[in-house]
Amino acid sequence: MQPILASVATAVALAVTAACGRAPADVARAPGAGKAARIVSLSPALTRTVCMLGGKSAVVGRTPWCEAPDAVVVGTLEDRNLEAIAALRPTLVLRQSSVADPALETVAASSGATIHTWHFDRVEDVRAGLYPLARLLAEGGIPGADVAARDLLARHLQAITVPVRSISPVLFLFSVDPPMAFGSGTYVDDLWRAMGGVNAITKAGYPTMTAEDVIRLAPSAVVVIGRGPLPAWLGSASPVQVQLDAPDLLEPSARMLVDGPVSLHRVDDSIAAARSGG
Amino acid sequence: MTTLRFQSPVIVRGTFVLAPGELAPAAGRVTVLIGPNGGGKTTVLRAAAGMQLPEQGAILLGGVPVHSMPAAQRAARMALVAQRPEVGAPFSVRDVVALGRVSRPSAPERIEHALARTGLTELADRPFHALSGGQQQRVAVARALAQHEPGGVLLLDEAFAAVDPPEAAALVREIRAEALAGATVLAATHDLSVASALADDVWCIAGGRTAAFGDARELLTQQALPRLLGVAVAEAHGARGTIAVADYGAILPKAPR
Amino acid sequence: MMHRRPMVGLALVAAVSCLAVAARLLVVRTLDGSFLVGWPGPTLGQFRGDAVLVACAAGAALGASGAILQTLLRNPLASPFVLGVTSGAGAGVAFASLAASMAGIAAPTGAALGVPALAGALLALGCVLLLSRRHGALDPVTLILGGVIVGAIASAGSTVAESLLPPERRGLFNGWLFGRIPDVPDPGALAACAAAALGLTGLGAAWGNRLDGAALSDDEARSIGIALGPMRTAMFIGCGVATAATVALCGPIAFVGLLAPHCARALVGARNRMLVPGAALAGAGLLTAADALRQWIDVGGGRLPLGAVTAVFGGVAFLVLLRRTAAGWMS
Repeated sequence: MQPILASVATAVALAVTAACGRAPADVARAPGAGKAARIVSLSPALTRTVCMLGGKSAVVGRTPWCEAPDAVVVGTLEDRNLEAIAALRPTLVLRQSSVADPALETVAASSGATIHTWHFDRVEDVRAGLYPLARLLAEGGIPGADVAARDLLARHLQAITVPVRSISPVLFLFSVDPPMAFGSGTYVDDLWRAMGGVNAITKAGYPTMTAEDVIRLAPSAVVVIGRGPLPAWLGSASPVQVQLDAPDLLEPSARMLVDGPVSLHRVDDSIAAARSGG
Repeated sequence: MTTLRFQSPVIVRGTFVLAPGELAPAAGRVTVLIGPNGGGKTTVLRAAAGMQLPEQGAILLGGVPVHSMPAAQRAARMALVAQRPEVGAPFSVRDVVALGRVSRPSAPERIEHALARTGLTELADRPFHALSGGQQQRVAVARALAQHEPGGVLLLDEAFAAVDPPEAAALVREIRAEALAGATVLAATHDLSVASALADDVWCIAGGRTAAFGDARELLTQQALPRLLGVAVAEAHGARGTIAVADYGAILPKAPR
Repeated sequence: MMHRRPMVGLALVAAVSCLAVAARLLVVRTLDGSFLVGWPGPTLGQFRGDAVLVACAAGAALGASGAILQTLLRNPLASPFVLGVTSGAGAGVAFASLAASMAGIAAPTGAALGVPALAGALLALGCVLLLSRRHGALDPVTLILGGVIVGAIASAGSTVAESLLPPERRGLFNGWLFGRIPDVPDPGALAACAAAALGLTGLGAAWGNRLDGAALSDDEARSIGIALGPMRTAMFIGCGVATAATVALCGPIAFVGLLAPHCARALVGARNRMLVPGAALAGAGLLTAADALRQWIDVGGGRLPLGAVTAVFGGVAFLVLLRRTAAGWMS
């Protein structure tokens, strides 16, 4: 019986792979393939991505900031409750870190779970990670995952192929006191440039600046992503100020892939409106 | 002339009961406090300075209870040199002596005079902490001299402990000069030869009680001291009369011949 | 080094601090790494001017507090930060924000922050003083140890309070726990801090001789005519107020309160009538210089937090100073 099941499973996997056009990286190695997935996620971005792929019901363990209210809080990436994780008998443990966690590996091995590490920093990371993640979910009994992934990618590509009108340098801030920006090599920068825009910051990463730096930069528009009052001095930096409460742009996940370009288009519309109106 | 009177003060929950009735170190004379360690010499001086409130009785300075006098008023009439000079800042010697004038009218010449009297003029600009223990004690005495007004009270607690003989001689001379000018001096010391040079009167405190109070010529003797201090005493003859000296050799067995 | 002319030393301290102010006002490094020298005009210049005002007010408050604490506690290591006062004030602010969040009201801002900051500062100082009482006197070693421990506990408390805040209320703490000079300082907080700095400096200078007397042992200090108890209480409260005002304005800043008195003492001498104003001037200059340095150093991630600059440079400078001056305090 066992060898037949195994070959059937492999055949199904190969068929699904052929449909998606991506090689399954670790399907043959995944133990518990065919078992219902029980996922512990130590990353809110990964949890959100899993949910968007249709796997919300499979998430049994989460961090305090993950959006999966039925799951049990098992701590954070740095401070995870190993007993709680073991008690959930997970099949998959998802985390985002470049540092190995031997204790977690031991716990996972004893429960028969596998740990998967992703790095969702840039748009390319999320794009490349969607199919493998969907594959894991599909094996775990969530049939629509592969289709969902394909659908998400299609929506993403559709959104970013529409160019923005604003082609002069725009500054994207996620904090105003002190001013902190999305520099080059960040996912907002990736999205904006893919849509034909220009980032006012050429420095890499998320530089902290002073008010004077921002004013001196004199971007054609300042976009503040987040809530809270805007300081008066922003007016001296640029005549166009746009504030957007867009949580999708504050976290590199599948939601960022799909909703991010939509939010950025709204930003583009606001900039255009501000320019023509004032 | 400020008078200092002890009216049967009881201090520290009855541990120290100074003589019943009244006891007053005389003005214009040096009263030396002698007695064993822990016997109460420091307590007497601290109580006289108003640092310790008697539970019964009183200590009067010029007729007013010391403890309740405002600090500035008391400082005008009484100066204290405590047992171990502590200066918690990198002051110079002159700065420390000048502290004696902190709540008194400014008088730079008093400071220089005090430095000269204690032989500290050359050291005046050096950091206090660079001095030896004995030199630091002299600085404390100089400070008290700078503060002290003629006719006031001078309280000295073991001011000679680390001082070497030539420096001690200078200090004895200055303290006696203050007494001659009308001060009431109450000085505690272990050193019997210093006591002999300094004392007009002797006040012996042991076990928190006054064991004796009287003229130095009667008490600083070979007959009286062993009973008071529990140590063998020899006598020598000096410029001012008899000098009492502790005879440590008296407790050792004679070497066999 | 004995000082026949403390006024000259004071003038020297003022001159060096003015240099630091000039550097902050006129020299800046832009994001792409080039240095710009010169006055940039009113719009940009206002930021620099505000930063200088904040740095001078906070630095003066910390410097004066540090000088007074070092004198009163007879300890060259005493300072608002080492004694846990700064961290206590920070914890006060953190818990006030948490309480406001739990009650559903807006967190206190600006000068109103000074109230919980003061409560935290005085509570921390009280704990440290109680912990180090020995036979009625303050043991110097326990004082510093107690200060470090109370400071650590207060910092931990701040971290706990911050982690319990919901994300949207955390705005205040974006780098605040390290100390930062805000781009747009709250005018109430700035005025309060400047007033506290001026008041404490004036009081310290006026009571300079009495503060000097506090360097003696308690008995001798009283015997030279100083009302030690009331003076200590007043000065401790004054230092608490000044520290709390600094924390309310720009968060907890380390090392300035420790270093400024030592720098001033080297030029002005140890007598408090000159030392306290000297330390205030030195503190203003040090903090302004730290803010200028922070603009000039580029480690790739943008601007450094101010607290990082004061900690690194201040810490190293203090180690050097400690070796050279510790001998002057103890025999």
